[in-house]
Amino acid sequence: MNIECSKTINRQVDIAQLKKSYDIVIVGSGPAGASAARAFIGSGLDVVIIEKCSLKRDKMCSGVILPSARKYLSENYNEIPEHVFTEPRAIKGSRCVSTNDLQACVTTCPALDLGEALPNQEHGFNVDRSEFDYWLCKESGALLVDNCLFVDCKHDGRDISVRVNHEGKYHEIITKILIGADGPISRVRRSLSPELDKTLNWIALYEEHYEATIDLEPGWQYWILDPVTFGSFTHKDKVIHLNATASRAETAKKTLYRFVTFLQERYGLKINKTTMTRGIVMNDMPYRENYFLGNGNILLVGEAAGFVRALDGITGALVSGKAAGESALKSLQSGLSPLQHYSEHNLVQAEWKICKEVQPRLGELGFVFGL
Amino acid sequence: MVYIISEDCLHCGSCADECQIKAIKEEDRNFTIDQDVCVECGACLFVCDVGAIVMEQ
Repeated sequence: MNIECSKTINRQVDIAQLKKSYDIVIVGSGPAGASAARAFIGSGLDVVIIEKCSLKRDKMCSGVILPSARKYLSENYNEIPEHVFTEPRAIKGSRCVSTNDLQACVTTCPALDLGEALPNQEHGFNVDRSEFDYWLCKESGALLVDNCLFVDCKHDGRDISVRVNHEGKYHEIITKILIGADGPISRVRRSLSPELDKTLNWIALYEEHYEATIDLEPGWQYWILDPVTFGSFTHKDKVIHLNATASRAETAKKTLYRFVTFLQERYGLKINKTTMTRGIVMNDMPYRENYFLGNGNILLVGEAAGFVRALDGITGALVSGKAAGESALKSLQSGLSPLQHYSEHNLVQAEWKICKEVQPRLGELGFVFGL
Repeated sequence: MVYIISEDCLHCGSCADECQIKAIKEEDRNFTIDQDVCVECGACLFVCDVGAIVMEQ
């Protein structure tokens, strides 16, 4: 698919160039925000994405673009550029190893994708997540301002006043439509409904990157099955990304170090250097079908709204972002609220159904929310 | 790498409110990060107005 705007030069600007008002303000520069912004290409609307981190920002993720996301990208984007890929480029599928049974062989699973109807024998793409997200943002053609934290917003019935913080200084942006694409700990969601956030349960995931070797073939997403929790690892260039999920029995860090010992003893993991440590938290919104799409002219997308296909946040982010962007555009023509169009959007209805179907698989893996 | 709360802390508690997995503990308005629980998600960094949360190798 060729869209003229994909040739857009880098539109990342400094906070000093931020105007006082925009037609659309999007909070978060991940796939959800970028996908929402892309819907406004050619609309003539003034769109800005604000991002709290310094770009390009890193994010804990396996960096595997699953078949469902690949399909979406091929239908909606230009080809992913070379520099976004890591080696090996293709992730052929999932394999499992078990801490519980040291004699157990590596098991090849039928599918990589937890989201679409199974079996799904398509491979995934192995990417550098920071490059991938940045490429998506550039493809959106929107203006991009980093180091800019969304603080809160007020809606007077006509305009939305958005307060942001950049290096300790507060700025106000006026907009007609606000899209919160700011992840599981969404400040936009909290600004809209602080009470909802108090009901959420959380789980932590922790990841380390190693310059390392292991006696397992690259090109697979390896899942570590365990009596109390699970983890996964992938080869990316000459680096291995290993992550672990917290449980009520053990913190994510302790679990990860236990997995390191397991992989050293069972699969000859040899770590030369730790190059990165980082983590994320996830909440149980999709697990409880507790989706929150927003309110009036303020829409939530991706994980902020609860759209996660088990552990795949990218596909739901892309799909819901597109739905929100299209709904916002439609509302400007119809006079109805963006939320009304968004909640009725066929992509949203379909995404809900998929998220609902795949969540129980997390429970089977031992995923337990709450501290 | 770990996150720590430096002596620039004003003891406002906003970082502890932001941490969803309760890795930031408070005792007599002194806040510390439990390094075993913290997964370095970075959420606390952005809410500290005085930049008191810093990364250490």
